[in-house]
Amino acid sequence: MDLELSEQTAALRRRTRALIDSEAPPIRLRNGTRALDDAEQWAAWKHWSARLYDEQLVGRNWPVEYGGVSDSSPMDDFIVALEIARARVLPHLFFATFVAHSIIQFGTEEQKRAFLLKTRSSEIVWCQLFSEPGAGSDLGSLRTRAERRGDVYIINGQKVWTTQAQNADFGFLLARTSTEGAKHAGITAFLIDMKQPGVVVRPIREITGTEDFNEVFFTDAVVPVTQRIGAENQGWAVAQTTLAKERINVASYSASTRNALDDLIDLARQIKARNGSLPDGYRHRLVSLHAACQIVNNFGIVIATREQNGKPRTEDPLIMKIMFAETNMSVATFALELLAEKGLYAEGDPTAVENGRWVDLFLYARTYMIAGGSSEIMRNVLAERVLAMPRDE
Amino acid sequence: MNFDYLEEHELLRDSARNFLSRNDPLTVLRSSPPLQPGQRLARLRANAAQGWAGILVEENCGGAGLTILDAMVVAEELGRFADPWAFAAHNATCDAVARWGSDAQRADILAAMGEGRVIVARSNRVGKAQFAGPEIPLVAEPHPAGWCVRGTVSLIQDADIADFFLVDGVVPGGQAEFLIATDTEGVVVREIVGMDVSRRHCDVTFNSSMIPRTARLGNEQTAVSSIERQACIGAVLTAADSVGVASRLLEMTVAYTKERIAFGKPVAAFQAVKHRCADMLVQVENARVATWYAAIALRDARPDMHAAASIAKFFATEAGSLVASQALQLHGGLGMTWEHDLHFFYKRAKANELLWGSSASHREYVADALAL
Repeated sequence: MDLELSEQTAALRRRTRALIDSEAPPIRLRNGTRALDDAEQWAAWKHWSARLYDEQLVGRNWPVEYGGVSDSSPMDDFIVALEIARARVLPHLFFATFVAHSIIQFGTEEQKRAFLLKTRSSEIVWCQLFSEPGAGSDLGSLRTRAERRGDVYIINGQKVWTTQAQNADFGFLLARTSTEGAKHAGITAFLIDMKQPGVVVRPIREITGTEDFNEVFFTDAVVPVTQRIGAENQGWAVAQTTLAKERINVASYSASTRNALDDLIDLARQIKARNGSLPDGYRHRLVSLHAACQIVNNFGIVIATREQNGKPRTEDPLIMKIMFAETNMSVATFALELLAEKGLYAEGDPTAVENGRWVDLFLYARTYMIAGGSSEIMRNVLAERVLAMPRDE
Repeated sequence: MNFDYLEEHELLRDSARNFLSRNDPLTVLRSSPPLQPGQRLARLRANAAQGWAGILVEENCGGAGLTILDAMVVAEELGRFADPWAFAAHNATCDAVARWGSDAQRADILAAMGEGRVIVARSNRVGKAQFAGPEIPLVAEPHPAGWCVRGTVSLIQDADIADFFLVDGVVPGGQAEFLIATDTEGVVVREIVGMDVSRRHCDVTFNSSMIPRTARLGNEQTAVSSIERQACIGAVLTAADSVGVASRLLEMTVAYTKERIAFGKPVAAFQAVKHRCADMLVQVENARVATWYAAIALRDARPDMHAAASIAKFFATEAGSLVASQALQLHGGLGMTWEHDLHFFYKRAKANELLWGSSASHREYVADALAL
């Protein structure tokens, strides 16, 4: 067991840092996955994303003919993701990661040629159309319908919580093609053109006051059969397999929490400097948060190691997500306590601490305990799949 | 970068688990009377025969010349089986004697420690005592023939079967460590009535015991860093012990909830029960990662090795207590009986939290390290 980077990985990390230093757009980020302020920033993000792919810092595990490298490794991918997150700059347009791997794994040669390189270059921007008003953590219950009519499928229904739907050219859609058998068995995966009359995108204003997610309505929207991924009713398998690619992503999540906690510790030191001391209660809580954060970060390295060694475990990303989400929430909660009355001043107020960043963190943090499978679902899955406890009826 | 057990660690873990399940310490804990000196000696020697006593003893002294990582692997298994051996203290003292011992001390004692022939006991508590008595700070006064030692040291595990005590005390101008033969005149060993019934602890009083000059370990410069280093080793191995205790409790609890029928189905089918078990699993895995990191930091002498040991200590032992608490709740009335084995692990988990420095003292150390 050791924590030293190989020379090759260290070099990759230096290359990542160099590109960040020279080219990352200087955009102030809000917490989490958020909409940007204007079209100019959006253009800068697309360009930056394409540069990360160009330099083969991301999308390294794609087939070589579609821009990947021959010697990609999960540890390298993890270290790059971590470096980008720690630098507090925008990552690549990562909503494309899952669809890209679905296309790589289940797509036809034609689909690969049509979509993969244009995804790397930001010519095609993606969104992910999974969640519905009645199907969140219980994704298998989704009801958006896809009906085959000759060479096309006709789509009707509604999706929700869609990030970047307002900017996306294409969507990675799960829709129901059959109501027979188990609910998971009737789902099919599609690549749908978002720029068509049957698709209407409406922004959602969230608890933060900003509009970062969307509702998407389909009224007789059209998808050619050639844009179906995998076989009809194979969609659940397509989605599940790509979720495996999310492990490395999950492993690097916690970097943002580490950044926030580092800043919070700095803030506490400033308060100590001004008042002469900090209450022991605050000091010890910060230490507990520091410990949790260190452990979650290290858990990420453990996950990357196991991925690298070809020994991934079912429980790891679930445990990681629970711990990360809760630690992040705890950091956010404590931040407002530490700020005391200053914690009330939100983004836009001239005296808000760091332009309301801590209020934004506090309001946004719950997202991670709900999205991508709520903490409760994670616990069910741990109990049923890992501890082999009886399934819910 | 490889942050997972290597094959050698897996082999060591599997062979330890295999050996301990064939020679289950629970038989000694359950016996009446339990944990007699002869039983503990026999177990200690059997464990030592597996090569576990010599892990930190260098090869030219007959040991295995391995690292704290290997000791950590074994410590987790010893915790999993609630073994009565003072493994954390043993490794702390091995490291101290190897590092600071005179040639004579190393020749006389170290090799024999590695084989389990000589037992050097030390206190399982560190830092300043919160309450006065039985702890009376040890004072050693210089004397023409050596030192005259007075005071009481609490919570020395297996003091009644030890050959030497490693203790620290106040000497003119600072602190010193001593290796004191247990048959020295004026030494009184009192076995405590302890909550942790998987181990035996004693308070040891030194009534103006005369010890030779050669009993001193190291010199004026080494005592403080030696004590700190032993505290780190003790913290990491106690954390590992708690990981073992917690994993065992999780397994016991999941198995029990699958068997226990209530309202017509196994209680494991109830979501409230499942979520408690999932929480236990999360605690176990996080505690393990904290412990691994601390062991690597200590082995590699990373700048944060003390803080990492403190974090592992409070996090893993608190996780152990949380898991134990869930386990007791989920065992229902059965867990409240002496007859069921759960209480050995429940008590050991809590003891681990209290020994080798309280959680508060470790948090305090980390807070200072973070300049808070």
